[in-house]
Amino acid sequence: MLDRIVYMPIETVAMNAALARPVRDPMGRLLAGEGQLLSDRLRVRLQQRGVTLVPVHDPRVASKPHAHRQALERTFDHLFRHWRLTPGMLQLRRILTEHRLEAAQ
Amino acid sequence: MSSLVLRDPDRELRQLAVLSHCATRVLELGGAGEDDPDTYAGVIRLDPGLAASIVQMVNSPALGLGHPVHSIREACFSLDARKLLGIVGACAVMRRFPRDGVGSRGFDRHAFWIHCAATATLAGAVAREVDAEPELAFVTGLLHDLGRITLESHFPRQFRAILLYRERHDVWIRDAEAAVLGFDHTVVGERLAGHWQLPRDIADGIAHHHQPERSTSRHPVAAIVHVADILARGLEVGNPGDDTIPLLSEEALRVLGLNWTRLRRCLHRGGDGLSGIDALVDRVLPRYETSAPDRAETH
Repeated sequence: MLDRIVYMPIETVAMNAALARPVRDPMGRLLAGEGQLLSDRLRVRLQQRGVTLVPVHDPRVASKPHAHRQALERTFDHLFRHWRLTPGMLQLRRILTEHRLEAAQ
Repeated sequence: MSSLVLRDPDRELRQLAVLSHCATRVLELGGAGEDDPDTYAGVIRLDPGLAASIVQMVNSPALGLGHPVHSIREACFSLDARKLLGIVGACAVMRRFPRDGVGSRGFDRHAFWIHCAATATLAGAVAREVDAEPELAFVTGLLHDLGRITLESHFPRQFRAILLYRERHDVWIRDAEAAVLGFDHTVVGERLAGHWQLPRDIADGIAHHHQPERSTSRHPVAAIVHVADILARGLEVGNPGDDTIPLLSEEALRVLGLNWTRLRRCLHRGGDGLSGIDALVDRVLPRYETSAPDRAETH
């Protein structure tokens, strides 16, 4: 799903975006690990060490499935509005959601 | 509301125009146990529009027969009488309700038939999963809401009241039908299927697809169509006339031996066939060219 990695200027990356690869200084020393969230504190620390670009998952690709899931959940909130607490219907909703997300991909 | 009451629904339905002469004759032959494909082909050939619809449906990837035919004779020879009768019945009934005829506001006939075709495709997938007859499930899926399209086209005042009730009370359209008329589309569909001499299993599926536990058929077609209808609504293919999902019957799942894993497999199988349903509806349904459907409204 998150298959495209891009290097973006550190000041433009959204807060708490996950790093897609480890970030190292010119000597090869690890500054931040893969998957680490880019908090304000980490951002400042990296900038102080001269880092200007950081590897993140392409937000255009990464946000699409998320937005699609959100839209689907809203649709199902409406379609299943009469059965919000019925266990069988909740299970049905889950498999329909999975199926439609897979189909959309 | 009293002017909306159908005092004698059976009489009203009997007054509706019949199916085409050829289709009626074929269904009569089927009821009498005829099994000669040439006899069927000879009768169907007299109605070229019906014959073309049947060939299109037999060749439809959504039905999934997998052996293309080029003429009505080939179609009759490639299917046993039981399957042929179901397909003839489905085509004849669908042709009674053209997709772009004069419809009620708030009800899209084309989207309705797309929902029916999606239900048919998913019913075929469920039937394959549970080793039932996919062709029977398919044609029953196509016709499962026969009663609703009949209400829409022949009882427009009552149907407008049903749509209004549904909007005001935010209920399932079947509950709105029951509140306005005192009965729902399954009753209308069952009566009409009997009146038109559709095969008994199909009539049973039409009658009980919302309460499959009441089915008296040996074939679990009502349970299959029940599940398929709900899956089609969940996939939002077409428009059955409302925007809600009825309660999935646990009894239907039990009868069919379906668990969630198998149901997911049905979705995958059926989902693959959904790309062909637009073409199926376009080819089987005629454009609205003749006079408006007969109205049997009670004033």
